[in-house]
Amino acid sequence: MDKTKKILTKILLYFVEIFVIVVSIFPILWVIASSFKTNGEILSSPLALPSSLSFEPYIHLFQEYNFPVYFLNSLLAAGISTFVSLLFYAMGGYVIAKFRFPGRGLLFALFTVTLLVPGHSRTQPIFSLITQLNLYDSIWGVTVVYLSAGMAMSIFVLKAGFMAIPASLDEAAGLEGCGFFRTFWSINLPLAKSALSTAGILMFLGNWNEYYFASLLTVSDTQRTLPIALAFFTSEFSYNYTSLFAALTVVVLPGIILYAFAQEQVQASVVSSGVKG
Amino acid sequence: MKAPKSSPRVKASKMERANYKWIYLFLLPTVLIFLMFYFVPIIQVFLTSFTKWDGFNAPEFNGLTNYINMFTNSGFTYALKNLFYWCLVGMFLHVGFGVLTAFVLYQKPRGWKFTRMVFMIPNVISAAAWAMIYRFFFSDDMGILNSFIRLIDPNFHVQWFYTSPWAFWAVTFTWLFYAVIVTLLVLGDLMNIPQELNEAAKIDGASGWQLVRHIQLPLCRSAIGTSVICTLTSRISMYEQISLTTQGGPGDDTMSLSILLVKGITDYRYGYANAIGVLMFVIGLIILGIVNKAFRMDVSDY
Amino acid sequence: MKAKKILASVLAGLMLLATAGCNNNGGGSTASGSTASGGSSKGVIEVSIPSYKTGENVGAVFFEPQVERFNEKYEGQYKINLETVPQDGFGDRLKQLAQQNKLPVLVQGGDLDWILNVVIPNGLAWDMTDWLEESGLLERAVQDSVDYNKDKGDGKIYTIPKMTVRPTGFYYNTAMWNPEEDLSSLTMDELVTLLGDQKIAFSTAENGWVSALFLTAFIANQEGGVELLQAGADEKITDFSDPIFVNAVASLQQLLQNNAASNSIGAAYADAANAFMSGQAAVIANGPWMSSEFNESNSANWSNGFDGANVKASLFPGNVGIENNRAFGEWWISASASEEEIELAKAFLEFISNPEELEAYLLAEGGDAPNIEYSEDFKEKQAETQVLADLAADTTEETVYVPCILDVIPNSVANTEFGKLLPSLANGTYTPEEFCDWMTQKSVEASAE
Repeated sequence: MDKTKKILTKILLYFVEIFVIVVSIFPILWVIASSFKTNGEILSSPLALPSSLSFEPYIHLFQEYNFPVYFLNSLLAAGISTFVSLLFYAMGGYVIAKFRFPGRGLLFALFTVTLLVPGHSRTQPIFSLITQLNLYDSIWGVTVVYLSAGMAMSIFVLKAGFMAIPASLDEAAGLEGCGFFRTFWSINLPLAKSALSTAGILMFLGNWNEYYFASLLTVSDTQRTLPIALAFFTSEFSYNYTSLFAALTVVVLPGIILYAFAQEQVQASVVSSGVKG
Repeated sequence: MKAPKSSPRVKASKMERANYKWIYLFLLPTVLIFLMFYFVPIIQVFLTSFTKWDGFNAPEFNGLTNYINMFTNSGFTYALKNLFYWCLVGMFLHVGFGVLTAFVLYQKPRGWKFTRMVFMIPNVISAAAWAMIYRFFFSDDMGILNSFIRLIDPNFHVQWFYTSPWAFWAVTFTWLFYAVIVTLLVLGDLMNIPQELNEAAKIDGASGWQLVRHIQLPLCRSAIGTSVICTLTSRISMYEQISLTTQGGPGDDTMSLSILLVKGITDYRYGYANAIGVLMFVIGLIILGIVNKAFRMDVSDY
Repeated sequence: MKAKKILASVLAGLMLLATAGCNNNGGGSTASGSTASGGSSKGVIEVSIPSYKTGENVGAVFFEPQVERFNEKYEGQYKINLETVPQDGFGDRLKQLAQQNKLPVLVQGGDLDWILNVVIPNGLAWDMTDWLEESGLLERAVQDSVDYNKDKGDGKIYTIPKMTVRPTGFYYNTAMWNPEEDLSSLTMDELVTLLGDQKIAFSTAENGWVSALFLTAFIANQEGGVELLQAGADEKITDFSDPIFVNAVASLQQLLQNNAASNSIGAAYADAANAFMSGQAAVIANGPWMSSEFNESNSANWSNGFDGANVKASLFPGNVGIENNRAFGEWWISASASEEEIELAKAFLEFISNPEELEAYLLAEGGDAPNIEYSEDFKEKQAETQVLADLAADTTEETVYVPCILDVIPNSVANTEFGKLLPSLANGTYTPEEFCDWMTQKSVEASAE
């Protein structure tokens, strides 16, 4: 009885695991495979593997477009904005989680509903701000805008993360003479790593994929980010599936590889600290 | 920031009062970002929702006309109904699937790290790209799904995105299983559970399921609450998944508030679009309040 | 503690990468900044213009070399740098630039409603009436477009009027279907009969463009239909209860049910084009710009034995060419441009409107320039390209020009509602009457105060 239960549990575990892997990985594999097929092959036999490996569309992409620059720009805009805003929102989330003060509820509500501010109504004020800062057509302008991107989600996740840290730790720190800042920096921040990494990854990926503001605020090739490059292949009256899938691959793969590396680093640290804590 | 005045409603301890300076200093960057990027838009959305406005020329006050137009729009009830169902699906199936995955990964079966990694892949791909992939996936002529089904039944033809009632579910499937955020949040909380607690429960004779039900699940309450809020707000603002696949069709089957809003913009009816924005805002606030209460998210466990 | 170190080193690494990137880009941005400014250091007037007819866009094939030719001709005097921007969001960019008073010197297009309600009333566009009259460009312009400009601009002209008309008809693959009749002089019914069970490539996703062209043809072929469509160019149609619409939709439904290529339901334009170019459909409706797709140079996109050389073109029955002549032209000049920049802009607009450039344009993208005398060389070359010759032969005094249905209905209905309902029309869920009721309801809602 106990044994069958164990086996059933095992089956369930692996079933879920395999399902997750399939739904996550299959579409992207299909896109990559399709980028090696001709238009005709994609149409007539969508499931088949490509009949020959042609790198033609990729060569075209790299000749026509400066993908290494786009990649660096994406990394710059998404990386810096995530790093800075993560610190800011951690500070905000920390005090909201741990202290009572006038305006707390209001501020928290305001921060979290920013998620629902329609994009179009942000366009004009942001465009005007960026041009006044003289950052139009600069990747820095995009970076500044991305600071604001993950506000709601991050505050939420971080607040929850800080709330999970026992208040007794703060009190102990206070008794030992830790000031406000040190209690935050040396006690709470390290213990909230799980929340920090979740919020950080979410913000980074959100910014990595962001299209609208990146395309609105930049024009020159040197300031372009990866998602903009993809938009060139979906313009009106284009029908070349092969190069569309190739562009999709080139845009998407770096994000995945980057994430795979970062994930090893960031989450390894999270897990080890979690197990110990 | 103004210097804080102690409000009678908030009972602050002496120590907390001493900390006000630090508290507001810590809030300052977030408040600044809020003021720079959100304050003006929010005010603008509210004020112009009572005007006729083309987005450029001066708005003209027109009272509640935009709201009346919104409530009487033929797609409006569909949008509300869909939002309701999508919220239900999101809350139970989407979050449920994410939580299940988190618990599975917490058991550390073989390959769990790999699974955790690939689960993130769908989030690395932008919504626009996903929608494109899904159009190919569900396409009758060249899509994967129907090609597979036709291996069994050669005469099978269903236009998932373009036939009632499948369209609703086809759109749902574009996000349903991509619950990595939920999984990460819950997994984070699970990993934070002190080992002693688990071990103590085991010594008391708790079986694996009991441990999950009575110890681990309740301790993930806050993470699940956060997940529910993230999911529900994403449902309110969900746009690309619809606009790039069904555009709200067939008929108004997959209509959403966001699609109505963007249609308003296309027609240069910014006032009307902003009235929809206000409604989305209000719905979001209500959901936030309810979930906060339901999951007792202001209460710390430790 | 170890974990903390790793985290710190990751962040430090990120920062390092970021600063490396910023060195790279800092350099890049100043470089582009100096070229972009409308400086006149060595007497060269130089401007940057954002355009979506660049890169992968179908329009780039002709437009990019054209700007090069301009730069060559005026070397040492004028220089235009094209900025490649995606079409998606191009209109938004213009709107924002206008609000900051930072419009480019030469502005490419913009939504019709925006030009009507914002650009002209707020004086954002430079008044080119006098210049056009003095330079003699008006003589080459399409009269309808000049009139439209004047009607909407209170007697003044703010956009360079159209010099060419590009009537849209349809293409057919003679390897599959090779009628001997002069298709444009038939009636729609005769065409449908002649088609038999040949397949037509339709698009029913996005805005349903290819289907909309057929619907337009069905409307235009009925008594009073032409007037209905033409009136729509000035005041958008919001009532579709007229039997003309209902009949046209019924005919379209027949066609969708009997002749649609197998991938038509849910097909985007790309799917329809691919259906035609893989021999899955014998007919596709589309504008003359598609002609370049049938050149040998694009054969990589053909499949299943399709050969561009077999493609012929025709206007729709009843000599109907779909083209809105009561429209603004493609370019206008920003009123905030300096005098030097306006000089350049004028030189550019004159350049692209000179007969040689117009002829080159027509050869590349098809169409007709009614008010210029073609050169022999041009006629020869046009005759060499089968589809262009076909269209040119059909484009005569008799040609009836009508705007596409999508141009004469409210934006949101044209962009989404029409296409959204086509699958339901095709599979019979909606009758033509219901379809028209739906269109009416959505149009009324879209234009509510």
